[in-house]
Amino acid sequence: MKIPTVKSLILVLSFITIAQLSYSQQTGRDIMLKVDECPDGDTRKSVMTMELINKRGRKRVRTMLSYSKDYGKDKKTIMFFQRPADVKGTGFLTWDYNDESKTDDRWLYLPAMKKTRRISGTSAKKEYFMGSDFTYDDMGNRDVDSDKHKLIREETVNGQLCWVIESTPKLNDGLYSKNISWIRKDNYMAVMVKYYDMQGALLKLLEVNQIKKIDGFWVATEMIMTHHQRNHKTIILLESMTYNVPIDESVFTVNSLEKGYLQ
Amino acid sequence: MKTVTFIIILILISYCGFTQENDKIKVKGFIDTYHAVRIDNPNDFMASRSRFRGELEKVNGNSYFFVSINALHNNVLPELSKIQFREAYMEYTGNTWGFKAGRQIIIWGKADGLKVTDVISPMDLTEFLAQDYDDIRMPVNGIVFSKFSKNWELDLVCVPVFESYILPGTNNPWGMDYAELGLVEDEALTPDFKLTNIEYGGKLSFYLSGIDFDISALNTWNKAPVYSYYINDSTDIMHIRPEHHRLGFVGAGFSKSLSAFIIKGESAFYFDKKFSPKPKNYEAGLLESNSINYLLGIDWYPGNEWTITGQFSDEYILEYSNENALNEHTYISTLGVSKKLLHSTLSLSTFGYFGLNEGDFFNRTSADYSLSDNIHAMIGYDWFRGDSGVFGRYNKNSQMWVKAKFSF
Repeated sequence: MKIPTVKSLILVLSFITIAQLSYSQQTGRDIMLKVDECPDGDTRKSVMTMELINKRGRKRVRTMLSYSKDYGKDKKTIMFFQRPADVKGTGFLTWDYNDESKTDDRWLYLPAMKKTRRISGTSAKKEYFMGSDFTYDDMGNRDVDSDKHKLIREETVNGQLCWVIESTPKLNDGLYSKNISWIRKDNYMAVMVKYYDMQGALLKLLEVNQIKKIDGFWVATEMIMTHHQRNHKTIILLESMTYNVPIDESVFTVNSLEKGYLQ
Repeated sequence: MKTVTFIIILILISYCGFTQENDKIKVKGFIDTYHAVRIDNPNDFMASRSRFRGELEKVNGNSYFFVSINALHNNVLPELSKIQFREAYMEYTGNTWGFKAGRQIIIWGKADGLKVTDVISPMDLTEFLAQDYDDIRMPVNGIVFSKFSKNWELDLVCVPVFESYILPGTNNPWGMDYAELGLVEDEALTPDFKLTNIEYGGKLSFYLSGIDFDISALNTWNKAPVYSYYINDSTDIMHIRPEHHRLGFVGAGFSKSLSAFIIKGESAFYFDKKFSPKPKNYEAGLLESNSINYLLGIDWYPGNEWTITGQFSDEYILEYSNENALNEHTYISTLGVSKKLLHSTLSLSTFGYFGLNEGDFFNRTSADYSLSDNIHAMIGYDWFRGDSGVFGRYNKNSQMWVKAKFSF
């Protein structure tokens, strides 16, 4: 057995030091890219419930079934409302493109009208999703390079060591002047995000209460978004989640959307 | 007997609901009640009706069925108090093809509230356009065969049974009283129920990045009647007869995304379309011409839950004759604005039709508040203005209405 020499030991140590240095020198953007690129399978099927709670405590519940599939860096999603009764069968079909110069394609199907209409793929990003406190951007469709990211400190939240990242939009085109995210160092999952309005006041607070590993992938299964200025909150509960299920391409078509159901 | 039938249907629906966990038959529907009062004298009720809608559906692998039943009680028009199947169809969907057979609503085209190529499902104009647009659309008995891929879809349609528009009768505040005009209305001339009279056609649609477009062709019937006139020799009284004739068109449409805007268009070339003559030119009989219908529209989504839509349409009659009851061009435009408030629980909307030839218009403005996940309360105003034209003729029919709806 060959015994390591002092020289080789120094070499190994220097490699470790360089690796540690480069790890600790991750920029805010590096971290947010890794958050964005957290593995989530090639396909996903989920049932999600949103509870909308107003300042008087009155609760409204929306349940959605969705399928999504990656096509390289692009993604197609089809989603149907299962609750409440008055919007049951309403469907959204979205083709999200990674290329920022390309507008996303979105279609809306209204079962009462038996009609599909193409809707804008850009303005929707700033819209609140179905009366909730989440915008489409909040739901994870915002491109990492739409913001400047700065690692401001490290902090422990609920016993988990986190990076604290401040993200500022490059263009003044959204609802927020900035947001601050707490990202777990062990799995790159956000556990808390504070959103600030254009005047710099706290607008919303996202708290991720439960993170689970399902089918080998980390996923937030319970989160609360509190809108401080509207005295309103939205709880999202992921009732079921399955990764890498075979989903035929025909699912992500207008034909499928117009059926109002998925087989 | 009707009551017994209704009770049986209710029991069946309740049973299905009870067993839905096991059999996966899903039950949904709504109960709504709608009441409208004329603003002008005599301030009478223009509508007063309550309805139960039950819908059953079941998915089993590639197969699906859907049934919807309406039970309606109408105080203003008691003869319309009835129970009827609205839709009842079965569907099969493979990976690249499928079909849908039975009584169903078939919607074509890109337009909102205007019909260029969307002529398969007729309209129920019992209360003219002063009701929800989804209540205006009527189902037809037919079959649609579909072949599709990820970016395109071919629909072949066959409707063997002719169904015309439902027009308001003389006892209806929206109806036309021909007797007042000194006319006698004859029974409508409708096509016989036979193989050569089937309605058939197809639509090829493409859904691409940034744009949708379609081309279509249909051999159909004018489901809104044209009117011929003649004088009865023995009585010397003029008669008016609604008639339905063969009609064919080729059409195209598109819908293009442009930032926060959707630009859309639709056009159709109608062959040998029949037109009513002016009553004074009754001896000319029905007139026949080709015509071009086209529409351009824009939807704007400025954000913050605003939606603004506008459309302009024209029916241009080629080889125009001055004996025609219609203008050479019939221009109609629409403008719609909607806004959601209070976490999308309150929806304010206004939608107007403007007849540009006669300067008449119809506007429906409403507020829809979601009291709970099940109950919506609505209030609205239907405003008609003009001295003549398709909207102006109802200038005494402006009404205030309320509606409540429980969905289950």
